[in-house]
Formats: sequence, structure tokens, C-alpha cells
Amino acid sequence: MTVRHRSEPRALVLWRGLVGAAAVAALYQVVALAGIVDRRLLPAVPAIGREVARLAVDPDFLGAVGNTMTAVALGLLISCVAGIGGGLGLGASSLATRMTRAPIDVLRSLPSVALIPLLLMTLGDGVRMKTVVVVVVAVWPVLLNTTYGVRSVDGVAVDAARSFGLSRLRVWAGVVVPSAVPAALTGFRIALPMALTVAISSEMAAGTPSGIGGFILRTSYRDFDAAPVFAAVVLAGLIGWALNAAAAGLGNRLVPWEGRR
Amino acid sequence: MSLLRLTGRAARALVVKLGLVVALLALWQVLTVEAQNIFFPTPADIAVRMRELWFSGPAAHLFVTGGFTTDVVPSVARALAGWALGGLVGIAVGLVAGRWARAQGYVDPPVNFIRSLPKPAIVPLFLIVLGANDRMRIALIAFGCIWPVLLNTLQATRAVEPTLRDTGTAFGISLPRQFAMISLPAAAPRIAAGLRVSLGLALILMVLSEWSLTQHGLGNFLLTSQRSYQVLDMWAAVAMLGLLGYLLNLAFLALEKRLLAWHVGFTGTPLP
Repeated sequence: MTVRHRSEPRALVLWRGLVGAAAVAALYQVVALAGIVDRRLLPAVPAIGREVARLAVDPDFLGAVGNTMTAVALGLLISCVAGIGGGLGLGASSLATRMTRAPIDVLRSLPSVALIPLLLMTLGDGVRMKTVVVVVVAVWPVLLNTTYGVRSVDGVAVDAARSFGLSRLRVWAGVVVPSAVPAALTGFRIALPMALTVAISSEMAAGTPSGIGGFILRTSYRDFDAAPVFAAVVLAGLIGWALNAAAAGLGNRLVPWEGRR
Repeated sequence: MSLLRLTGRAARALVVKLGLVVALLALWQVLTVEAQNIFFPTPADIAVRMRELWFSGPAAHLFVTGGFTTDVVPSVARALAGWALGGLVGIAVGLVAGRWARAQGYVDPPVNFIRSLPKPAIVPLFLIVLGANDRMRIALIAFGCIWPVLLNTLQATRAVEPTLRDTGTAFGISLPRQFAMISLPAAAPRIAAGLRVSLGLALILMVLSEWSLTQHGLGNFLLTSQRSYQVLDMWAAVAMLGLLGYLLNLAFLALEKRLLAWHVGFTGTPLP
């Protein structure tokens, strides 16, 4: 999404992003000051900022982040291997696509959080459970987007490659797979925030003190000060944002032709 | 002869479509009967329990029970209301913000940041600010549903052929009409894809929002049965949520196919 054109200096990009962020912060501050809701419930931007700075070096919070991110990273890795592999396989055959459509739709439409109580019961509340939760959610966007990418390859390009006498395998490696990469990446980028979301959901459902979700839950119960809760949420958002930015950077490197039309 | 061949073809199509589902269900039944694990009841038992809980009502009530009215109906209503609200906001903001290439640098960072906020982490915030009521639940669902739609609308609007836009401007078509006649139709398939993702998200957020402080809804039923170790009830709730998700998705796809039929003929590419 953050496509940067080569001609634009980094400082300018950063400046625009900061202006956009400042506008959102200002909007929030106006709402908070307007007194629509109790002032104590909506802490002011500077107060949240102070808490963010404190939490960012708090070993307790950092440990929670590490715990959650382990499950997210493991889950995403498994999802990508399974999703891209499965997507390429399914995309290759229209029969396979049609046969697996109904079961995939059924599994995919199961709201992921519905499985959390079930997995809590059977796998406990550790990293293993969270990893499984992440896979159950993150594999579908990758799988579906990869399949879609393979199936929507330009027929003319394939025919052209064939008519040049390229073997099936080389048509695949040279035409089909590269055209499916942007779609697979899109799937991964959809899966990324979902993975973080469900990992945190599972921590909150479990009621355990581990992970970011556990940290937020603990903080929101402990005292009536809303600022640390907001700060933890903001930091969780920053982590998600950094992950997205990294994925976007990867996308620009892998498929530089996308989005530079 | 041709009738025979026709039914043969229909049967084949049916096998292709549902064969794997039936096979997997059968496998599940066999495995759970074999395993005799209290955490894994057989699908047949789950189906019977679902019927008992929700579908054994009198004919006058369309066969649904009182439990259906307290568990399922409010949940679906919340999910759909939040989804519709979030979808509308996402499309509107996406069309406007996607129209100007210059805005990208300002819009994308905040959008990406807010989109990255883990939604369950926001539940306490929404609870604190809006209180534990349906307004908070619908607001939470809407908040979550905005982002996939917004992101897809933004990207699709930015990818609209510049020629189309310039033509619109050259012919002096007003901006609102340009949105309605150029950007919206061009972005429609991607918007639909975003709406579909959001529909799944709406159900997830619905369950999340019902985990705290409510006596109604499937999410509440699910967590209550887990905490009281009613394993069969819990599985029934999971299956019900899956069924709802599947039916909603099916309904959405049917609608999408109808509404976007023109797009297939227009661009020659089938929908995802």
C-alpha cells in the first residue's frame, strides 16, 4: 500500500505520514475534550504518549509481546507454506478448485474465535494453542488469494508462452507463478493483521496473564486509569503496523511492477 | 437417452461439488466414534443437539425454538448491522481518498495504523467508552469491518484507468457523479471482495463482543458452555456459527453474482 516512488525523498514520505497521524490524533483529542463521554475514560493524547514511552521499555510488556509474536510468527510461517503450496496446487486444476470449494468455504466461514474455547479445552492456553488458532485463521486468505492468482493469469500470456514452445513446467515457472505472486502477497497481508488479532483474542478468552491480550486485560482490571490500556492498544497497533510495513516492503521488492503503473 | 446423460452429468456435478464434504463428514464420524474422547463428540450427536437447541420448535414458529430467538437472532442482527455500517463508511472514505493520488502519502499511514490495531484489544476501550450495550457491539463490529473494505476500495480506486478519470473531468462531469459512474463501477469487484472479508470479520467481532456482559447471543452461549464444560453445547454453538458464516457467505456470493454480472461481460474476466 505504501508505494514509494523512487523520486520521492524519504523525509517527505515520513513528513506526510506524520501529518496524517497528527490529524487523526488531533481529531481524537477534540472528541476527548468535547465531553461527549466522561473525560476520565478518554485520556488525553500527551498522557497516552507518556504511557507509550514507559511501556515501550517495560520488561513486563516486552515479555508479553515476545510471547504473542512467537505464536504469530510460527502460525504465519505454517500458513504460508500450506496456503501457497495448496493454492498453487488447487489453482492448477479446475476440478480440484471445484471439488474443494465447498469444504473450504465451510471451514473458512467458521468464525475463528468460535474455535478458541474448543482449542483452549483441548490444547491448553500456551503458545501451541495460539499457534494453532493463528493457522486456522491465516491459512485461508493465503490459500484463496494464491488460487485466485493462478486462475486469473492472463490467458493470452500463457498461450503466447506455449506457442513459443515453452514446456508446461516452464510456462508455470515463468508465467503462472510470477503472476500469482502479487495475489499471494495480498493474501499474506490480509492474513497478517488477522493473525495478530486472533492471537490476542485467544489470550483474552483464556484469561491468562500471558501475551499482549493478557497484559491489556490485566491492566484494564487493575485500576481505573485508562491511559495504560490505551497505550498498550496503541503499541499493539504499532507492532501490527510495523509488520504490515515490512510486508509491503517485501512486496515492493518481490513484485516491483505492481502499483507502479 | 439425452435425459439419462443429463442426469448423469448433474450427478457428476453434485459429486464434484459435495463429494469431499460428505467424505470428510464420514471420516469425522468414524474417527470420533473410534476415539471416544469426551472433548470430541460425533458430528451426529452435535447435529442432534443443534436440533434440540434451536430447530425443534412448533411449525407456527417456523420450527425454531425460543433458544433460537434469544441466541441466534440478536447475534445475526448485530453482525449485519455493524457490517453494513462499516461497509458504507469504508466505501465512502475509500472512494474519496482513493481519487487523489496526492492524498496517498497522508492517508495511508494512519489507515494502516488503525487497521493494525488488534480488534479484541479494542473491546475494553469500547466497553469503557460506550458501555456494555448493543450500541457498543454494533460500533465495534462496524469499526472492524471498515478496514478491509476501505483498503480494497482505496487500491481499486487508485488503479482506475487515468484515461477514464480524465475523460470524466474533460466532459465536465461533476465529482459526485464521477464517483458514482466511474470509480464505483470500476472498483466494484474489489469492493465486493472487501465486503466479503468483512462479513467473516463481522461474525468474529460479534462473538468477541458477546463474550462480555450479555445474556444473549451465540458468543455468550459459546463461552458459557465452555466455562461450564458443556462440551456438546459448545460444539453445537461452533457448528451453528459455522453454518451461519457459510449461509451468509453463500447469500453474499449470490448477490454479488447478480449485481456484478455486467462486470464479467465488460472485462472478460470471471469474478474470483
